[in-house]
Formats: sequence, structure tokens, C-alpha cells
Amino acid sequence: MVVLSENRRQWSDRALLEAIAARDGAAFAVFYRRHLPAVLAFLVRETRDRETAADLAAEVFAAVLLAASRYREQGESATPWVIGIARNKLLMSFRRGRVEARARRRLGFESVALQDSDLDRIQEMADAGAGRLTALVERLPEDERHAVRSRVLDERPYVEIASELRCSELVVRKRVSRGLARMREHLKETGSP
Amino acid sequence: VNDYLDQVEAQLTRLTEEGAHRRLRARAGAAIAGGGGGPRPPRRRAEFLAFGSALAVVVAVVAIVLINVHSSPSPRPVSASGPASVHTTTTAPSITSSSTSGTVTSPKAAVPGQIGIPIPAHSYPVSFTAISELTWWVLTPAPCTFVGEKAPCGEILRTVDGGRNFIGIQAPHATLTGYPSAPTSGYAQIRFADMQDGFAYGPSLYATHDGGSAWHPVDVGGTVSDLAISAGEAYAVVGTSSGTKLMHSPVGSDDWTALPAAGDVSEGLWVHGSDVLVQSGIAGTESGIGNDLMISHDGGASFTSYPSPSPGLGCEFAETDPAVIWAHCATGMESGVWLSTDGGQSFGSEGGPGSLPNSALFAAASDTVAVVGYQQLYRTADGGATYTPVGPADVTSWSYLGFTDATHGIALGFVGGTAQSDEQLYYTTDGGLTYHLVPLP
Repeated sequence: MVVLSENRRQWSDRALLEAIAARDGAAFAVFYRRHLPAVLAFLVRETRDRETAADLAAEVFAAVLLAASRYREQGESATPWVIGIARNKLLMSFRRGRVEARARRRLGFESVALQDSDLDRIQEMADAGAGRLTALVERLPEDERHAVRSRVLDERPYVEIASELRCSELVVRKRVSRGLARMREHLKETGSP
Repeated sequence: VNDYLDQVEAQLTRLTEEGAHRRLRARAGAAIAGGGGGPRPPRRRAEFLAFGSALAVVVAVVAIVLINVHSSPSPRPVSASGPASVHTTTTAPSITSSSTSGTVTSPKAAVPGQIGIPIPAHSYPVSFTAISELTWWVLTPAPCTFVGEKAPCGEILRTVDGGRNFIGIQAPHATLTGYPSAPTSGYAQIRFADMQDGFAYGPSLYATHDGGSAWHPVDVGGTVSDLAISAGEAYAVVGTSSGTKLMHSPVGSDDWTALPAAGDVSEGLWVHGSDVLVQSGIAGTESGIGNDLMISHDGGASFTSYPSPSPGLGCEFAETDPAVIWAHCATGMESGVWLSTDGGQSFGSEGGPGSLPNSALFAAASDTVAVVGYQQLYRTADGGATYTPVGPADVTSWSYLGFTDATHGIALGFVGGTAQSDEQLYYTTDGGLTYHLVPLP
């Protein structure tokens, strides 16, 4: 278990990723814990298999480590970026017929055995991630809720969402940005970054 | 006792502090594989990593063969596989539909004169390959029928009339690998060069030289992540403990040899005629993606390297003319489309319909027509200048796109879910403008 720095827990995703790129292990741990529930929620939902979800989650965060220096902030949390990586890993696994492990291989990540006892915690964390995310999304104003759900959870292209809503991409981006900012603020208020 | 998630965290934290990610970046920047090289314009800033790239996607799923030789004085090189010697009729495909969501007539029994094995109920496509607009093979899961086989197993459906009729033929007696398994053997994809010679791969390699009556394993010294066929040659990207290399063999034999001029390669394999395109890899790694597009015009004997349009990130390529090369590459959270009109020496600025995920699919039908997308497909008919949405509304996401010529193409799309059993086969006869559901038996 990595000891977290309280200070880093207040950092933005961008700041954490910059620190990760600069070899700050504690920053990685904070980022991992911040996003692991959402990643597991997404992967468990998509795979309906906790072991596969756990395996893919490790790959997702290995990819995060490799990509940290190239993170391009879009005025919002890194959640869509991380979920985007998760979706890509999922699809690559599907298409290649095996769970992606490329990022872990590149890093020299040693295989970690998954025990039966781990599965409950994975499910709990996934439930927490799903529940927390869903609850936060549900609290958003309707226009932001739809935009965040479409973009972040369903990862639909902005242009597609804009077409559906008959508005400009810029409007959708603003709604997503505002929605995510509102969600982050709420997370801070509740002390669960 | 730390659990799995804590151990993952601890190990990645340690790797962060050790700078494992920084060492890899340095290696990636230094690695330039093979080839003669050409003038290099200033490279654009890499925006994101390449793991989730769509590079392996399209080329890894299907090898479609360019035929229609007679209809053009110069066969249009859009296929990922296929012997130039194969000729087909230009009869319009039997698939007809009055709308984008229409269907073909229900599949009937086997084509008269052909003997097949029983077709499993509720077939659905997991891999597709074609040697013409009418002759396709579709891989579908099927019950295991041989002692010692480990489920799931597969069966191959073949049509020679554009999907009107199918017969069942044998697949390798091995496990049909598929998500979410992590196989060390078995196969996930099929390719056929002609009616006799075919391959199944991913991660193992199997071959048939009698149209699928008998399959046998082929040892190439590693795992096969991609395979494409052209001009009587099969090309494979083979991962070994010392890196990933390009190998080839005549389609009618199993005489696989390395093509060392390609150097370390990643997965962006595209072949047509004697042209071989592949993206460079990172030396000494099995699957790292390098900075260069390697192009051979002599069947892989020699390569020239050009800067990839998105260096260090995964690309898939499509050569629709010796001078025209499309590229679809990861850029970060998103992906983009590039076009070269000088044989890959340089690419224009990044284009595309905007907001494409890395995992978006791409297929080029001609020098000016291409389709790209993931949940929504977009088509350009002006070389990428503009894009318009296309495709049936009930498809939630796509898993494969490919064209056999400028008008005919195939797409695999998910309807109602993302399980393999939700995959449906679609056919386009108008260059990707509309798509018709092809029901499998």
C-alpha cells in the first residue's frame, strides 16, 4: 500500500499527470485511486467479468503511466481520457482475442496473481465507481447530464452528440466541461476525490 | 496482505519512480528502423500514446482481396490481401436492398455442387475475408466436434455468390480464441488467398491448402498478430521474445522466412501486389510502435522509410494507388486521417470528421472515398476534405470496415450490445454510402 500525500490529493488531474511524467510515484498512487473505481465500473460493466476487468484495469493504468507526459488537458477532468484508454484497451482485447498487456510488457510489469478473495473488492469498487459516477451524473442539470453521459460514459464523438442535440460542438464541449467541473467540485465537497 | 489492486498500484508506483516510462520514450525517440529514408519534415508533436491505436484493428480483422481486374486497366490496390491472378465476374452482387437497413434474401442451402459440413445454428461473424466481391469466408463460433478440442471452436462459412448461399467448411481443430480469454494458442482470424489456400491465426498460425478440408499448425517461431496476402504471398507480423518481425511465405506452401529489411515492425501491415507497407517497431520490443512508415515495392526485399504521419503512435494504412496512401492514426484521445499523394513521402495535414476515438475504424475505397468511424461512420468522397454521416442507425459500434474495390465493401457492426454474438455482417455496394444486412444461416 502506497502512502498518499494529503497535499497531492488536492492536485488536479493535470498536475498529477505532470508529476507522474516526472517520476512522482505518490502522484501516480493518487491518480490511480482517484480513477480506479470509475475504470473498474466501466470495465466490469462492459466485460461482465471481474477478473478480466481487473486485468484490463492494470493495463489501463500502465498505459496512463506511459502516456502521462502526453496528456492534453481539455479544461476538464482526466476521466474521459482514462475511460477512453479503457475503452481502447477493451476493444483491442476484443479484436485481438486476448486481454491487452502491451503497456505492461513495455514497462516490464511483473504479473500479479488474482485471488478469489480479490474479486469481492473489485466488485465493490466497481459498484462504488458506478454508483458514485451515476449519482454525480444524475445530480447534474439535464443538459449537462446528457452531455456528460454521452461523452464520458458512452464516449460518443462530440460531433455526433451535437448533431443529435442540434447544437454546435462547442456547446456540447462546454456542457461536458461544466458538468465535469461540477462533479469534481462535488467530489471535493464530499471529500472523495 | 495486499490484494491485487494494491499490488498493481505498488508496482506501477515503483515503475513511476524508477522512470520506466521515461526510458521507453527515450528509446522510442532514438529508434529508426531500416530503410533508405527520405527527407524528413519537422515532426509534429506526439500527443498521446499508441496502445489503444486502431492500427491493429482493421488490418488484423480481415484480408480483403482486390479483384475486378478487368474493369480497370490498372487494378486499384485497395485490398489487404489477394492474388492478382484471381479473376471474378463483374456481376452485381446478389445482395439487394431498398434501404440502408434492408436485408438480402434469406440464406439457402449450400450452393449446388459444393459439399459442406452442417452449419451451426445462430451463426455470427467474428472474422471475415474475401477474394472478390462475391467470394467470402466468415468465421463463426461452433460446437466442438473433435476429441481433444477445447471450446470454443469455430467453423467457416463460405459464399461464392455474395452472401446468398453459404456452405460450412472446417476450421482448424483448435480453440477459437476470443475476448476475454488470454490464449497462448488457437486462432481468432482467417484469411484466404484463393479457393484452396487459407490461413487462421492469432496467436498461433494454421494453414490449409485444400480449401479447408484439412488444417495444420505452422510454426513460425512466434505469435502471429497480423497477416495479409497479396500476389501469391502471405505476409505475417510475428512477435518473438526478441521483437516483432515481418515474415512471408508463398500461399501454397508453408515456407515462412523473415524479411529482415523491414527491421523491427509493429502491426500496420498493408499489402497489394508487390507493395508492402508496415509501420516500424521499436527495436528489441515485441510490440512497440515506431516512428516510420516502411514501404517496399519489391515484396519486402527492400524497404524505404518515411516519417509516419503520427510518429510513435499506431497507424493503419491503405494504399489505393501507388502514389496515394491513406493513413488513420492515433493522435491522443482521438485519431485522425491523413492522405499522401506522393507515395508516402509526405502526408497532408491531419483531417477527419473530428472527435474520432483512437479505436475508430478506417477503410479507403479509392483515392477520394474513405469511411471512418466507431459508433457513427463518416464518409468522405473528396479525399478527406469533408465527411458526412453514413450507416444504419441500429448499429451501436463497428468492429471492421473493408473494401474489396471502389464500390464493394464489408462492415461488421454490433447491434443491441457489444458481445460477439451481437455482431452483424453488412455489405455496401456503393462505396460505403449505404449498408445492407447480410443474414448468416
